[in-house]
Amino acid sequence: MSDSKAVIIQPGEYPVVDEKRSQTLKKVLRSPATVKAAEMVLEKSSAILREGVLAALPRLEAAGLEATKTYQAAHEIRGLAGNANLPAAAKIASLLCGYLDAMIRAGREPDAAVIRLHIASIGHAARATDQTSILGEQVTRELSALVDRKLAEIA
Amino acid sequence: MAESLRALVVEDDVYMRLLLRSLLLSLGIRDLFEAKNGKEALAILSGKEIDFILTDLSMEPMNGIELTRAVRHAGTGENPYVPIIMVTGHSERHRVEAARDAGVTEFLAKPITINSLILRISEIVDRPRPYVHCDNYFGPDRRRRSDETYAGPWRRSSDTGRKEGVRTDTAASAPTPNWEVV
Repeated sequence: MSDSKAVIIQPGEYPVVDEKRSQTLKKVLRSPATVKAAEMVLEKSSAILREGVLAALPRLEAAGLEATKTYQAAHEIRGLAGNANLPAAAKIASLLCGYLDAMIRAGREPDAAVIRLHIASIGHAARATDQTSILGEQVTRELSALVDRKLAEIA
Repeated sequence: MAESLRALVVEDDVYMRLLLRSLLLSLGIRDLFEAKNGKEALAILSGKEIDFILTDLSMEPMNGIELTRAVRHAGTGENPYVPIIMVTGHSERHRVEAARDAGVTEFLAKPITINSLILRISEIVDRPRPYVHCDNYFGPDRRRRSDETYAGPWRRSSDTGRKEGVRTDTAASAPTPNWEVV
């Protein structure tokens, strides 16, 4: 490691947002009307984002046991599912991503059964109409325990 | 109407890009540019003055980390200090650390909430970060998390007098930590 000292450049020594625009933005961001409007945008977007999740599902299901492709499709789904009001699908996709990432980094072959179980569960959770299902929570808990056990085996 | 901030959204997923665009518009940020990957983003940055970038991590060609490195090491025509907010669903620690070390300013975790988005934008406008330039890093100051166990190396001119292996003990006066992806 080099012994040379770091140079600190303070705001103002480099270009920052000018005061006028900064004040305007602050005012807008602190307005309850702005927050309400943004919340409505988020709420209205969930149906479109759900379409995105459903469009990504065939890619996940077609990826089979190929770790990288499966990771990419699961990652896409976890990114959209949370804002699509599909919390169980988001959580299970995140579990699958975590598992595959750890296996890929360890240079180990992922367990086919673990992948299949997650893919099937993501499909069920994303296509289900009842997102507050207790069953979804139980499946998520069981899969989380399964991933923990599998990762403990390679630790 | 007052001049708006200029934001660049870099996201390969059409659904997420649409969401980000709609959210920024609802927050009064009307000067928006969009790119589907890091390469497209760099082309936009070379011709426009942008106030902040909102970027995804995983994209092809050129992901968010590669884009951040390219921006931070830009030539004279581009602004290497532009704040970069990384929007990510990645919870794997090594990916977040790689992004931080590339020079990302703030993280916005998916699922996106209005509060977290407003907070990140407010941070970059209200409390712009000092930048650090040393042999192996150029980017926003990464010492935002107070770490009582940090014992060097002490590389800053303000660190004169500190001894290697001796803790900082400045936690009480340290700025608010915000490297957690919340």
